[in-house]
Amino acid sequence: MSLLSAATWTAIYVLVIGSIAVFVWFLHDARGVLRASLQEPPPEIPDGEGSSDG
Amino acid sequence: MGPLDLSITVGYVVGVLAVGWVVSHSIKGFSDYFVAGGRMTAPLLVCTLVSTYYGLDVLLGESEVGYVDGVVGWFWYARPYYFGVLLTALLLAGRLRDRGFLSLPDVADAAYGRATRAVIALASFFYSLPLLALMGIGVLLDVVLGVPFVWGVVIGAVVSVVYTLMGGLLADAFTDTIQFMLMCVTLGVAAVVALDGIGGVDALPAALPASYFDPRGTYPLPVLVVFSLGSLSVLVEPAIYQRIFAATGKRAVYVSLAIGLVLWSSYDWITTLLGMAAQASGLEVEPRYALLTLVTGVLPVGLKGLFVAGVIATGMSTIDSYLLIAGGNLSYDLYRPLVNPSLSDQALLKLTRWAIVLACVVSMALALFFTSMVSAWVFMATMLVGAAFVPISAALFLRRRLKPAAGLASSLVGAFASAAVYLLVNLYGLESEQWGTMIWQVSIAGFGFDLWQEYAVLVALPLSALAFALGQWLGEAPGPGPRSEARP
Repeated sequence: MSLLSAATWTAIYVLVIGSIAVFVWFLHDARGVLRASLQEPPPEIPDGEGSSDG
Repeated sequence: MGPLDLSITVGYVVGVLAVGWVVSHSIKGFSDYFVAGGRMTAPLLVCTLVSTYYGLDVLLGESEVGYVDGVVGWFWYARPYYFGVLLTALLLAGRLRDRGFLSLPDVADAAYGRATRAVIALASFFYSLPLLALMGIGVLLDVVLGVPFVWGVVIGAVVSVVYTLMGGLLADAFTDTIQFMLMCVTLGVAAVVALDGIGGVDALPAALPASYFDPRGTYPLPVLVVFSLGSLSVLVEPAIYQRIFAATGKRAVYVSLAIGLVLWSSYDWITTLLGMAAQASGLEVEPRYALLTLVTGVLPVGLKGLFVAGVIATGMSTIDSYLLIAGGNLSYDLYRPLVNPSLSDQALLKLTRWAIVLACVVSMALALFFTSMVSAWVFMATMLVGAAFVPISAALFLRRRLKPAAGLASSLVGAFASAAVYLLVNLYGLESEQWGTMIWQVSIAGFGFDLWQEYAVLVALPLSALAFALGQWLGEAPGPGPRSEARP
């Protein structure tokens, strides 16, 4: 496999699998965000905290 | 497009509107609307950053460069932006998060006062008008559905503005998640099918000239350097600033920019390769539409509808985000501090919604008026960098007390220098068929050189820095007391 081919297939896999993984992460996370959004504004969250900062 | 493809595309648009309606119930004030009440978590930030910052200009523009010149676009246009994003993450994010700002002009206001805020707000407004994305949607609907261009632009604008009006940044970010996945997955799948159709990636070197695989392509080095300098715009990018302010914390910003970097570089590489694949397949089309023509020609029923929805998503995710910023520039950054400081939070929210409609109307008018949107984009981006880069960088990094005259002089001189170079090149220059841009052949005292419209930033930045130094040297020191509140 050439360098060009390796770079291209890596980019395709990263883009497809990466975006699906981030979307699943978001869905897992969104329940809490939406619930909080539809009820009351959340309390101030200090930097570096929060359930899904990373 | 067949009925199945059409149903998928329409279903996507209806879904996006539904999300806007659901999220609209959570909007209670301007902060909720404009920066999602600081509730944006890392995955939400990744989705909205990637999908907002990458619009149809990237999808169509990078494939255009790939189609005409090969991999040079990735190495000299896209790659420098990754360094810009890295600098943003490492140097800016922490400083911006510590200060409680809501917008880019807030940063200028805190350092220099309201006059500089107004100049940078105007530059941000014009930069944020989503002309290219609206035009791209108009072209797409024309190509795949036969909808007249004017109506395509109107449809794209109306759908985007409706859900942005309903739910602000949170609706924008939630719809961005769907748009993010659609644009990434459909591009990846389209690449597999399209590259297979030309005999695989390894068939490209045999079908294209060697210069297509040279990282420098056929461009002169100074032009490549100017392309790279475009990445400075990341450091004053209103949409990135807004998302940094909207994050739940610094860590969410760092994580999302790091993941975004990986996804952006993959996206750029694939669009470049698809442009090259279109050239290798023998397609003879206008370069800007090479990718669309190649991909819609090879995708089967069902996948084609998904791809079209993905392309619409790519455009809409950019339109909604930048309309929100442009509307905020008019209401929050200009009207309230300059005209009516006592405006209530609810009145500001209402005014912002009207300002978004106004920004949308101006964008549609300009999208229908201009024929060369690349020139318009160069102008808008250069204006923003010229007006904002020096004063904002100084505000964030210089420890000494800054003078209002320094900020005002550097932003005004940077903006006017950008506009002057652009206007002169477009008045006295000619469009180069070879390079696809406006070039003015200047001759001074027997010494001649080519002045590209892209060179405006090379003139504007040093002049802006000089004006800043003079303003700091000669200007009056600011009076005691706070200049303005950052938070509404």
